[in-house]
Amino acid sequence: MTPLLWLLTHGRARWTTSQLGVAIAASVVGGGLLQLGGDVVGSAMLVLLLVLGVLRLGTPRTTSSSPSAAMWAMAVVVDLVGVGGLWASWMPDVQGSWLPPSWPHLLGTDAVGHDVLQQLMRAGRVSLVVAVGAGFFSACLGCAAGVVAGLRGGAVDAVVMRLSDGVMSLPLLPLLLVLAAVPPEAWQSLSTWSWPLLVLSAGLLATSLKRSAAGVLVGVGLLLTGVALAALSTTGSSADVVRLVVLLSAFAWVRTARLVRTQVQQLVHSEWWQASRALGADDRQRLRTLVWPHVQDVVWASFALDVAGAFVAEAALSYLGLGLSPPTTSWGRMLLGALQTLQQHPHVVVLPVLCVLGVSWLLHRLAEDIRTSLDPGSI
Amino acid sequence: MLLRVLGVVVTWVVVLGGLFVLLAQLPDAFDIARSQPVTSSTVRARAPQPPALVRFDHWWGGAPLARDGVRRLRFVVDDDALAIDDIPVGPAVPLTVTTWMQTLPPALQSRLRRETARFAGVDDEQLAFAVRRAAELDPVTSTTALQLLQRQWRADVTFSCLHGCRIADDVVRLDDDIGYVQVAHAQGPFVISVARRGTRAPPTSVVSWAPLHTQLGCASVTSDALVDGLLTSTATPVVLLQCDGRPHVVVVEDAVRWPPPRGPGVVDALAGRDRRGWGRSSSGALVADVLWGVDAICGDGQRDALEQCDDGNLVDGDGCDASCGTAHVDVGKRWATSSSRVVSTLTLMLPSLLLALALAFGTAGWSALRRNQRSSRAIDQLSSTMAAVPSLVWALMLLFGVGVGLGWAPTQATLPSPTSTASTTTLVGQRLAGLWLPWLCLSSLAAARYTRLLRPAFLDAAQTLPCVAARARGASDVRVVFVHAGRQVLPLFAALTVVALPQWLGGALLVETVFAVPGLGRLLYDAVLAGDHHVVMVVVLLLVVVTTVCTEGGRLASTALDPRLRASSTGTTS
Repeated sequence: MTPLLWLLTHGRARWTTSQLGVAIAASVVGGGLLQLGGDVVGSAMLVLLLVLGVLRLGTPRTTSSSPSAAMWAMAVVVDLVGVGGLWASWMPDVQGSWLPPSWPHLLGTDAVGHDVLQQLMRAGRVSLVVAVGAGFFSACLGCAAGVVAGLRGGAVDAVVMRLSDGVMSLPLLPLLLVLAAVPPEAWQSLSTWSWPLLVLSAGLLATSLKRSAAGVLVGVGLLLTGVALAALSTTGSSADVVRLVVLLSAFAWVRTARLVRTQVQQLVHSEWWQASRALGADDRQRLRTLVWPHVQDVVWASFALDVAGAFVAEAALSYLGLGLSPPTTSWGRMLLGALQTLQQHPHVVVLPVLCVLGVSWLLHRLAEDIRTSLDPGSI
Repeated sequence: MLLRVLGVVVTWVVVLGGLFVLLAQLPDAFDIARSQPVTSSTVRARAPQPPALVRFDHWWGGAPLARDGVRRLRFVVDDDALAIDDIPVGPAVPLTVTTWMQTLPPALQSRLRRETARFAGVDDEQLAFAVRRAAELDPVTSTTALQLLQRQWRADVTFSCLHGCRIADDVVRLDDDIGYVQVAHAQGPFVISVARRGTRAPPTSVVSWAPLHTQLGCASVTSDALVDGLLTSTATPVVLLQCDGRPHVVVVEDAVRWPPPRGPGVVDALAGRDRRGWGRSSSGALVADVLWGVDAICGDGQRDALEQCDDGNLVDGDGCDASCGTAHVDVGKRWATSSSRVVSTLTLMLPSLLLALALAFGTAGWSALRRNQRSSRAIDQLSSTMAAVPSLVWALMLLFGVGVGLGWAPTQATLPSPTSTASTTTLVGQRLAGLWLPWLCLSSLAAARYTRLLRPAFLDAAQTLPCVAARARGASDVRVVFVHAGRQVLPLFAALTVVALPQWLGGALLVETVFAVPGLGRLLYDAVLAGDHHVVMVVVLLLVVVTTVCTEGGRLASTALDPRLRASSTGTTS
């Protein structure tokens, strides 16, 4: 994943925020995939991110000429975790548990005999994949919903906004807790709904591709929902990760939607919009040349915040023992039973805590950087 | 406004309806045991048994509630001496002790059995029966790991089924007669030992009789299905018991290995465990509190310790069923349990909320006073850094640092029991001692987040005309900031509180789990783990009610606090 990061960061004379963001996203997701084994949804996400990165679609206009310190630090963390995770294995050392730090095990072993350093690498990969994945999904969904609401107005707008009011008033963690505890078998009954949704979205996309922007976006929204429902029922080693991504993004799209809607509403009432109408531009052209450039800054800033939020939520859920099951592990999960281990083996507990703390701070810092670099007036 | 409320209500209905559908159509959705292959031997093992009447009465943060009809025995086990303190009330049926006893040395075991029988007023035969039955439990399931062991040993393997767990496909370690197999459980991975048939794995984990009852969220906890010796864990001690008649694995947080290591190791292992079932007496001996209940007669109109209720009849469906409430799920009762937890959660949340608001108001105002000075910028930096700290990490850091490291606070929030007869000051003192760290944890983080939002508001408000005018009239800086600017910030303040409420409930859940406060969040967490979806639904419903009421109340408050809003809203309606 490092070559990809290098390519994207050194390929041009000047780096932009989003290039680095995309590089980070792609390397995290790609690294996670290599570790977790192939699965359809994850591969689709990787391909999408690669395409985004290579074509530099959606590169925001930034004012910063070089990545900030937080970005460099984040890139280092991602590389460490991405490369280290390739080497890390789940197989415990049969020689025993709680081995002190020594040569083969630089940080010792845990209760079962897993190498702590390797577990940190593997865990970090999963934590970041979940965070970036959830941020990405919620950005897509929120963007589609916000643009549709802003463009169409009226009943569509009312429905989307009332829905977002409702979602915002939900106590997030308790609900996630309950949903994460529902066993995979229960989701499978839901996944039968994904096929009608997918067919519907395909039909909608096919019929409205040339004519209606709102139709396309509703199609995209339905497609994402269908994919999410299908993803909920995946089995295999990465099923937990996919499920967490879907659950987290199901609640996180709201903010993006609201922000994007406001931007689009401003745009619709602007002279540019009237000009584009006068020039006879069709919806597709307007989406590309007017709407996306207008909303992309907001989407990027919101994406960064969502990633940070999802990271923290995942850590909390995993700490509670829900969401991920072995051999998949994350930093939050490594803290399970932390209180018992603390006294005898403090480093086994303190290191994941520091990882969660540090990366959470970095992600927030990054979000702040992206926000200020996109909006110099807000400083 | 109406549409907004309608939207919120509709979303709630959809979410709750979805949850109901998801849960109702799958009555055993959480019961992972169902998806496990159950062989005939399992059925035999769980065949009709004499009612296991041992139950734990309510525990409140580890302190037993002495109620009528509940016996409490205290076993003090020294090197080879045994002392029993007894608080006898009525006849008791001691099944618990037998399973616990199997982990003791044989000589002690027989003596303990004899003593127990004498104290409890039952004959020794009953105890022996229970011991035999526990030993007779059959192997239950086989997986690839077990098959691997069988191939390598060329012999049959005994294995105790762990409900709510599954076996990972690797053998961790292989000794002559014992294999260690990794097991995945909702509480984390741990290793169990698997013994060759005909041999017995050494009993290594003795489990504290911690407030299992509360933790599991089940009406009755019986441990007669405990398979001694087969459950060996190097990571997390587990105990197999029955929760409301369903087999259930509990991973107990705090366990003592038996036999204990000799020498100072014992002291280390047991230090600070006095609040739990196991503790250390002054002589260095181990102390175990074992509670058991009396035989109860259902339908005599008298609610005994073993009964959830007793309405004087044996009719189902009248709120108290024929078995006096254990099998029957009484939503009303669940509701009552949950509402008592609400009080506990509110004790946690309200003081910390007030503290956070006061802190944020003070800090933001002070920072506005010191505008453009270094201290003001420092506050800004500090608050934005703190705002990025996840509440989980903050809670753990406080717990590790202050609770464990410095030992200034209990690592478990111990609340006084509701029936405690202690004086009011003692009760308040106990509450303070048990809860100050969770309060600090919740409020410090929230204060940072609020400060971050309030500081710019204060700075802006101090520039407005009313404040300039006040200053011109000779008001002091402090008065201008805290009274005149504060008045303008107040609506934002109210709005902040409201928006934060759903998050507060989430944060409270984490803090309750980390500090073991028996609150609503903890109840939800326990119910989710125990698979008791009735409790889950009730708690979610309660959260809905609390959140909705608070959100709408806050909106009204913010309108009431802001004359401008009031004016505009009356202007539009008229």
